[in-house]
Amino acid sequence: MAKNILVIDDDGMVTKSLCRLLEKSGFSTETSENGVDAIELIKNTHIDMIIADIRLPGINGVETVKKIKEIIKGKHKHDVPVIFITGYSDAQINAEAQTMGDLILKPFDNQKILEKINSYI
Amino acid sequence: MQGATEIRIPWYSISNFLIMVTSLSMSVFVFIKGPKTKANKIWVILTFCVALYGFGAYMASISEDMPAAFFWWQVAHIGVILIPVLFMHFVSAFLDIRRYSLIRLKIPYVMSFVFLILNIFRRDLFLVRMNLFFEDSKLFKPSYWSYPGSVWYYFFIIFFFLGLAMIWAHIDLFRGYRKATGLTRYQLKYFFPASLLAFIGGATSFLPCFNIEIYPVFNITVAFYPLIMGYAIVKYRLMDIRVAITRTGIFVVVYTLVLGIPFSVSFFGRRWLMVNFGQNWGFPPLILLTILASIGPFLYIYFQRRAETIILRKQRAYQETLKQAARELSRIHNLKKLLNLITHIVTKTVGITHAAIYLLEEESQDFVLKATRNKKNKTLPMLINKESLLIEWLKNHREILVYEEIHRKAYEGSVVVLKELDNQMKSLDASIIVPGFIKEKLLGFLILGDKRLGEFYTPQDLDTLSVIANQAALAIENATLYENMEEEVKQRTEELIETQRQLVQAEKLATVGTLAGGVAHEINNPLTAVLTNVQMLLADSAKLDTETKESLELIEEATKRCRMIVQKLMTYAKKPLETAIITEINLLEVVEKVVDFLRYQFLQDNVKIDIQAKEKKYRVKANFNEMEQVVTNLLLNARDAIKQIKKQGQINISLHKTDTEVSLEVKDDGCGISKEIISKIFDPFFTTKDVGKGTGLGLSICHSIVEKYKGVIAVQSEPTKGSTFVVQLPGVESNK
Repeated sequence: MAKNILVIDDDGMVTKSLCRLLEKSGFSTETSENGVDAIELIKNTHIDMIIADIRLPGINGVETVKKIKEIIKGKHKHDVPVIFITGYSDAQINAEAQTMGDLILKPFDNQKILEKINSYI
Repeated sequence: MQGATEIRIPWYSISNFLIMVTSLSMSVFVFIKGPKTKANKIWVILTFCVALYGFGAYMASISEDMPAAFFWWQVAHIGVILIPVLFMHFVSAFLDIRRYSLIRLKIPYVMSFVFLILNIFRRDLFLVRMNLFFEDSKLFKPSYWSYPGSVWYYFFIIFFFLGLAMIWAHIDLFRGYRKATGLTRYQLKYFFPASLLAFIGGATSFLPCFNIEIYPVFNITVAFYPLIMGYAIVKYRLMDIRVAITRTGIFVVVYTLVLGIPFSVSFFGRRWLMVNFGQNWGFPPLILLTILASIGPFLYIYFQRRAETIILRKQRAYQETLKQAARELSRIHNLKKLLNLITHIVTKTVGITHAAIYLLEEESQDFVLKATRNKKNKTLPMLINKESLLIEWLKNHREILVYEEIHRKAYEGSVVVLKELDNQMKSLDASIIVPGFIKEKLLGFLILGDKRLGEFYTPQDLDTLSVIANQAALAIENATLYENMEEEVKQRTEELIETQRQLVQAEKLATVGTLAGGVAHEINNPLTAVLTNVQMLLADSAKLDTETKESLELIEEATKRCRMIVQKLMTYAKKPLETAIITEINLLEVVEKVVDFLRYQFLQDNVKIDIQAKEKKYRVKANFNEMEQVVTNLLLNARDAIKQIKKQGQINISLHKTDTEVSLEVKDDGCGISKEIISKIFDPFFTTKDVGKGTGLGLSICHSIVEKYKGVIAVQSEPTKGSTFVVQLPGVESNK
């Protein structure tokens, strides 16, 4: 069964492009435009990996991932690997993000992100 | 017969009377004013003796009997005997003649004294008899006249000797006049003819003693003598008397009238009076005398006031003009204008040939020529040394220097210092020098030429000029302060403008940075989509035809370039994607690392890199990666600059440090930077490279990074010769 990856990004262009790439590479994908939806989604859906934008409307990517990880922990499931993607250069939040997962800067090379994903799942 | 004698009067009594009045006035006047010099003291005694002579001769002329006439002639001769030697003494003192004093003064004094004793105690030997003079004349009233006694042998010789002394004194006077310059010359111009005239006129009245019957009225010249001298004093400050002598003139005139009118009435109207008043004919003149004597003081005061008003009106008007002008001075803040105005006012108002101003120069304390007027053809020294005699003199005396006085004193007393001062004033072509003081400080001085009309500076002139000079000094001080202030304001303004310019520049860079940073972020998402998709398409390259593949590759490349630009922009906007860790780093290590990395690439470009560092550690507080970026940018630029103009080149990197600073120098021998663009090279997006070769952000990023660490980046460049970039950063303690 294909590994399921959740892509959280408020920019449809990014989610669409990335999902296509992932699906082509043999993954199944879930998408979410914001943190709240993503948290809802995780409750009923199995996710093997999260790719999240940091800057999101409402609660940001880092906070969203934090909540999701708490929920997963509450269900006694294995921790989920996370790759943050960002085009924004806030050193502080980027550093915080790096404590929970990898950080890849937009725009990224397909090869680079696929290598990262494959190193986790 | 009685009637016939009545119209005959001793005319010579009039001249003697006038001699008495004028000489006594002069003597009293000078005495009251307190004679300061030796010449003035002698002058008092001399004029008193002349008055005594006039008095005695007058009394003798109106004496009715022989014993009385005899007595009065005796009195008159006391004056007569002393006049020659005193005059000789006065001339000697006035011209400061000291030689031959034995025969000029000492012997005459002794002889005059002996003669005086004889005159007083053995008058029978001196004036042996009294004769009625012009007894048979119808015109003159006969009076008792003295004739030589037995001592007249000696008397004659001595008198002749004294006469010679008088001639000698006049020769001296004339010589003095020829030799003298300026004031003394002008004084002598009056002094010499007046005294000569008086001497000759006075001498004629002694001719009857030798049986030469010339009627003795020509001694009237003696009466004019003090008047002429008085005039000379007023006009030329003869004898140092600094008070308007008009008062004396008025005094003399008023009292001549007060005494003269009753006297004349009793003389000329005696017959008429006798007819009308009989035995009491003397009363009307006496009453007249009383009345006149009573109103005399009032007349005197009235005329004195009138005269002073008239004299002072001119003086006041002129002083008022000057003072008003001086007040105006304080309103002018431009020093040059001010100085010109001062010279203008003084030359115009006082009416002088030329003027110049010297001012103190604070640094050297010397005096520098700042303004001149009407002095085009003559050259004045540009600078007067602070140690020069003139400056010392002005500082010590704090008074106006008058050339005439200095000159006279210099040659009268042969004082070396004064002669030097005299020479210095001559070289400055100065009639007077007016110092201007601010408190104790000699701020400058005004040099004035002669008065146009050839007049001399009066004491009032000097007083007024003194006031003006000090007012001018104040104005000059103000103007200097004001100019200094203006200069300071100007300098501050320039500094402010520069700071503002820098601020604007910084602001501009920051704004551009923020803007670019924001834009960059927005661009990142679309770029992600582009890059992801194009790479996805390219992944299945087997399915693509060559053209499509090439196109997609171009898109990929373009997108990657966009990515690079955006990243640089974000760095510039101080928003690096990674956290910059700031630690103490060794700049030499940074340089070595970058050079290692670039060396191979540079070798291919035929560019050699040389590192010069005397020490091993050049520690600064910064982020290693960022400093790498700075060095890399500088080296890449240097290489590009070299490649612009030649096929091989050299880059010299050198490091220096002081206790407080570490500096890095990157020097190339490339194309250099022209003056037109050198101010723009740190601006973002400014580039001289071909489109696509450079982003115009390299140096902006360097600037931004260096600034972040409180450092400075600067450039020196000469087109076609090369450029040198210097980065200075604050050092750290461990460098010491």
